[in-house]
Amino acid sequence: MTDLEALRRALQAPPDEQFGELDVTKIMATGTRIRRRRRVLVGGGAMLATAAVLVGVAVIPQLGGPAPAPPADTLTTAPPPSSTAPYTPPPRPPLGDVVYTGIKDAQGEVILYFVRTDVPNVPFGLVAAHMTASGPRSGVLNNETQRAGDAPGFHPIMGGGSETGTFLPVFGYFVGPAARIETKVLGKTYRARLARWSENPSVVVFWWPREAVPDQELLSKPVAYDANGRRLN
Amino acid sequence: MAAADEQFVEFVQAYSTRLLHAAFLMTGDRHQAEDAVQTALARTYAAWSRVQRDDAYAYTRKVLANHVIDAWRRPIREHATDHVPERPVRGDVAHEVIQRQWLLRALDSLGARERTIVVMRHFFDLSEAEVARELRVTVGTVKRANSRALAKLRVTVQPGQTSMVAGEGTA
Repeated sequence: MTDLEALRRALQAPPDEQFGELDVTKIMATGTRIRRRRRVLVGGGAMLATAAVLVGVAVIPQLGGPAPAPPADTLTTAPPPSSTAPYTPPPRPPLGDVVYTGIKDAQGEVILYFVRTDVPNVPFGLVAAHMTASGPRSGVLNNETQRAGDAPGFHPIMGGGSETGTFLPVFGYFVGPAARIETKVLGKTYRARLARWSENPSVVVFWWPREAVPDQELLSKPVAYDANGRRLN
Repeated sequence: MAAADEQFVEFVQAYSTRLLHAAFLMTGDRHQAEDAVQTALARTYAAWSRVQRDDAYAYTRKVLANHVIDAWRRPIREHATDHVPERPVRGDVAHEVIQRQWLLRALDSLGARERTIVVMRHFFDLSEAEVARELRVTVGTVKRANSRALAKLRVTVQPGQTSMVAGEGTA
C-alpha cells in the first residue's frame, strides 16, 4: 500500500519520456481550419466558399401556426470586417421540407433546411435557424468546402455555439442510408436525431440536443450505421 | 505575427510541457500524448479569441481530457496484467526509475475515465467540483471514480486528506 501524497509525488515527477517539440505552426494551421469551418460570416457570394455564412431566410410556413410574418432577412448582423456598410444577406428559400427539431428556447424552435448554394459541386447547404413567433430569423448556413456537397458520407458539422445570438445545436448531414448516427462525448454514446431530406432521401439530416452535445469541440468522430447495424463510415 | 497569435505561441511555450506530462499520464504512450496535446491545442487556437480572455489553460485541459477519454486506445503491453504491482520500497538503488515504472503499470490498471480523473485530481490538483465541471459529470461520479481508482492503485487516504487536497490547487 502507499499513501495519497506518495501517489501525488509520483505523478508530479518528471517522466523519463523525451517528448518531441510541438509544431506550433502546424497547430495554428489546424486550428485555423477548425475555426474556418465554424466561423460565421456575412458577405457576398464569394463568401460561400467558406463553410458557414449567416443567411437570411425566406418565408417558411409554420406548423399549425398563423401565417408567418415577412421574411426576417433584414436582421442586423455584424458587418464584414472589410466593409464600411452593413451587409444584408439575401434570403435563401428552402429546398424541400423544413425540419422542425423540437428544440425550443426563448427565440423559438430550431429548424433545419437546405438551400441552394453558388459553390461549384455544392448544390446545397444546410441552414440552422430559429422559427420565432413572428417568423423565421437569420440562421447559419453550413456547406461543404472540401468535396462535392452530395458525396457519400459525413459533411461538415457545425453548431454548439451562439453564432446567431442564441444557441444552435450541433448539426450536419450525411449522404447515405444512415438509420442511426452516434457520437461520443466524454465516453458516453449519444444518438443523433435524424430526418430524411424530402428532396433526396439519401440525404440524412442529423442533430444532437444541447444536453447531449453542447459543443462541437466535445464531439468525437460520429459514426453512421444502416438499418441492419452495418457501419457506413 | 498578430498579437493574438503571439499570445497563443507564448501560451503553448508556457504550458506544453505540463500538458504533455499530463497527457502521458493519461495515455501511457508518448506518441498518443503528443497527438492528444496537439489536437487540444489546435482546438484551443480555433477558439482563441473566446478562450484567451477566460481561462485558456482550463479550456485546453478540458479538451485534452475529453479527447483522451473518447479516443481511448489502450496501448498493447507485453506482460500486461490486471494485477497492480506492489509499490517498490524506498532504498532501492534505482528507486525513482522503478517508481515511475510502477506508476505507469498501476495507471494501466485503470479505465480511461478513472485514469483521467486521477490525473485531473492529483496531477492538476483540481477539486472534485472542478473535475466534475470540466468532465461534465456529477461530483458524485468523480468521487466514486476517484475512490475506485485509488483502491485499485492501493492508495490509502488518511482521514481528512481528501478534503485537504480538494479545491486548493490552481493546476
